Amino acid sequence: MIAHVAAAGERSGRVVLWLGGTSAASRFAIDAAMLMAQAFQAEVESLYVEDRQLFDLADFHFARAIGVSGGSWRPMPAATLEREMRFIAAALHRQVAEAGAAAGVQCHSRVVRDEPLRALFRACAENGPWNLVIVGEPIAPGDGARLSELFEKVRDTTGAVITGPLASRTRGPVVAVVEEFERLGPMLKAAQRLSAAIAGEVRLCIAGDRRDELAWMEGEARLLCADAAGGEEIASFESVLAANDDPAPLADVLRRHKPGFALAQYGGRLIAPDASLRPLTQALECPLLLVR
Amino acid sequence: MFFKRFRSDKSKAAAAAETDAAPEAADETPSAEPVTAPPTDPPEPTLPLGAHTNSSGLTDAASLGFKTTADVKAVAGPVGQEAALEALTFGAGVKGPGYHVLVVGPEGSGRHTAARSTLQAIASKMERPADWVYVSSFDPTGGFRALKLPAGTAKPFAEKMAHAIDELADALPAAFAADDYDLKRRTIEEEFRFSREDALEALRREAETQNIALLRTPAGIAVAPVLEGKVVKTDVFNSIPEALRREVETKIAALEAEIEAILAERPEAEKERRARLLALNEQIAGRHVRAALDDLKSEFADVAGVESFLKAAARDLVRNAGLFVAREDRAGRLVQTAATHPRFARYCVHVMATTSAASGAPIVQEANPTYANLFGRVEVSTDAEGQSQVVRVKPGALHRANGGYLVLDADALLNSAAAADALRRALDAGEIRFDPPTSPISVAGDEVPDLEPIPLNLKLIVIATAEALRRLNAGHGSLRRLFKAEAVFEDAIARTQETVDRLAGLIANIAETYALRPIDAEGVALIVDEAARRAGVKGKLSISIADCVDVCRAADHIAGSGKRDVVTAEDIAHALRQHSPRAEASAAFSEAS
Repeated sequence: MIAHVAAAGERSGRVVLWLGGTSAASRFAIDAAMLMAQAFQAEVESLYVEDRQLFDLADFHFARAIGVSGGSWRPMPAATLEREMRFIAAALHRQVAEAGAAAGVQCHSRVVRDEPLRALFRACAENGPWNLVIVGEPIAPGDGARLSELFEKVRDTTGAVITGPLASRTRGPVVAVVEEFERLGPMLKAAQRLSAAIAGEVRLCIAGDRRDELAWMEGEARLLCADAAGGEEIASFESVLAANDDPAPLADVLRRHKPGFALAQYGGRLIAPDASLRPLTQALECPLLLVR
Repeated sequence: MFFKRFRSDKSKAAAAAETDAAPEAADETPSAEPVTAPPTDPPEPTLPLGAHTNSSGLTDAASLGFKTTADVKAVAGPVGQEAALEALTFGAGVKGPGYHVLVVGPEGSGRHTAARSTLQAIASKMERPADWVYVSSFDPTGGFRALKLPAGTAKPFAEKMAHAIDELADALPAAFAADDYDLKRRTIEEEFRFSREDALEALRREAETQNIALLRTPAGIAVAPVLEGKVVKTDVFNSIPEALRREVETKIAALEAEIEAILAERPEAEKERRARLLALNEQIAGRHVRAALDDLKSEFADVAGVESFLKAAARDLVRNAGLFVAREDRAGRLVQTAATHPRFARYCVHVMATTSAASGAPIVQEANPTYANLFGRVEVSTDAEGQSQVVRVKPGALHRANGGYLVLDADALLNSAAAADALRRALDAGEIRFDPPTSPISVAGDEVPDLEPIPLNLKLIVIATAEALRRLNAGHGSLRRLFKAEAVFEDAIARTQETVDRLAGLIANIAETYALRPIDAEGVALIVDEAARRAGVKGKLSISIADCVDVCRAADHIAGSGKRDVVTAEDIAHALRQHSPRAEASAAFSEAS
């Protein structure tokens, strides 16, 4: 739970920057990893996974690959594949190390040959007490199942940070979209710690499907914030009506507030497991921390 | 020289004044050289004679008809130079191009003052000429078009254009940050960005049903046979019947062909995406640009060339709306408006010639007629990307004097041979063409921008000494031929009652202009005598207005030191003595050279 991350006095954990087997790691994902590490005094481990399945494919005589920008099919021998992966991993790790040096964050790098999700699961299981996964590749509308699988299989993560193809900033307010009252405190604390790292105000958005419930939650939220002695002030409270499995309110909040970082619940009414991520990818311009 | 002859032609009055004033002067200026004792001999009877003279041949103060210059009507300008003034008035008044005037005379003879007052009288009755501005041509040459505007409208036109740019600097970033634009942009981006992903996703799902997977490789996409979500190992694959293996391979080949087709569409789709985004940007920017330029367009609708300029500017503004949306230096905005930012230099209207409401034709005097001062200057700035751009086109004297008069000193002009030659060409061609003399070796970026020539219609008034005239005749024949009228100021004029009275009026004018104490009649008589001695010829006066001014001001100072309310002959004599050593040294230098 995100509560692990936010609780004061908690032994520090790790931010795992999950770099798949491609070179498509987002600069904003790397920045998000550094911000999370700064906010929670954690280290960053960049994990480059050489997809074992690609080597299995390379053993076939008909194994071929084509560039994403088109062209023609080229044979894909294992040696070439290995060399390409080594170079990409080195370049990505250097990029992460430079970002870490600039942000004053300690970074480690690791290259493993495995299935991507299993590699992530193992990396998170090895260390604790908490891990935050930063998904290096920008998510695509069709990545709903992949994201669902991540939350399902990698149990030792408190959440995952995703970026979209339209990512363009990591500066601005921190917007926390809370659906359940019991998550309000931890998410608020996480948002406040992030806001200190990115020097942006915290805006709280409460989402629910009933007006009376929303009013009650907002009241409780205001009380909670008022009680938090020494806590940072919340710049704005907002309540939005949201039906089940309806990502539109979240997309609308992201468009209106133009946050530098956002927090939301994964598996709730706004981002349902296996749902299409298209509405989200159309609005997401900042890193989004999805908590279980 | 005026005072060169003064020493040998000392007058009685001057001698008396000198005797009286000498001790006082010695007190005031202890370092001054001792003044030579005035001669007591009577003046030579042959020198100088004429109006207002007494039996001694000196000016009779009593006959001048006033006690002090306070009683005299002030007279401006030279004395006794009627022929020169007539020629000047005639030459300056002749309409049409090509009739330029040469004013010749000794220094201090009042040529400049006479030329200025004569030209002012004529120019004030003339029609104000049209204004001229330079605006960007907005074509690939990066040149400038000349626009002719009604008199007095160039500055308002430039200000309104700058105001429009300021408006856009506020409006465009807001428009592009607005939610409706954002939504439209996203819609286009999404449509194109994900059309390929959608196609690949559909293909992936279809492949899955056939136990085939699309995998992401480090550099692209690959297709693999899978079983229960995992890529099949080769030994497993080889263990299945050959017919089945061939079937899988065929399916893989078909999928590869489809993937290739999807990816091949990308450049076309990208082109279309860019076109649609551009159209959207132009739609948003166009609305604001039209609104910002509307006032200018309606106000200058009847002026030829303005509409086409505004159309070109609008097109360029829309195309380059990104300039306004780019991250800007807010701190910079506090000290300068957007219009003055070098980024927007190409929208600047450069005022080259304009006149104020009360003026007639312009009269421009250029003391230093270099090429830049005559033809203007172009200031170029280099931006962060190393691109040079014109940030300012500064008018020269030709632009400012266009439609009126340009007054130049011959010596200064002849000392700048390149400028003189360019001026002659401009007057011959009747246009101001910016083509400065440049070094044959240049560096990239310092090319002279192409400025459309501006029609030139002015009258050139060149003021020369006899020596300058000789230089002009000897070495600049083609320039000399431009002068159809000559106003010659004489060294010495006839001493008549009228000229003496006018000289008294001139001295009164000097006293008035420089706020000096009134000068008594004896003092004025002394100055007249000096003018007579300067002439060195019977019945003549040689008047240097500049020297008169110097002497009157020095005498006023002396009178002030003596706490006198009126400048006396003694003060004048004292001032003449103070003035003479300098004049003599100068004369000696002239003779030596």
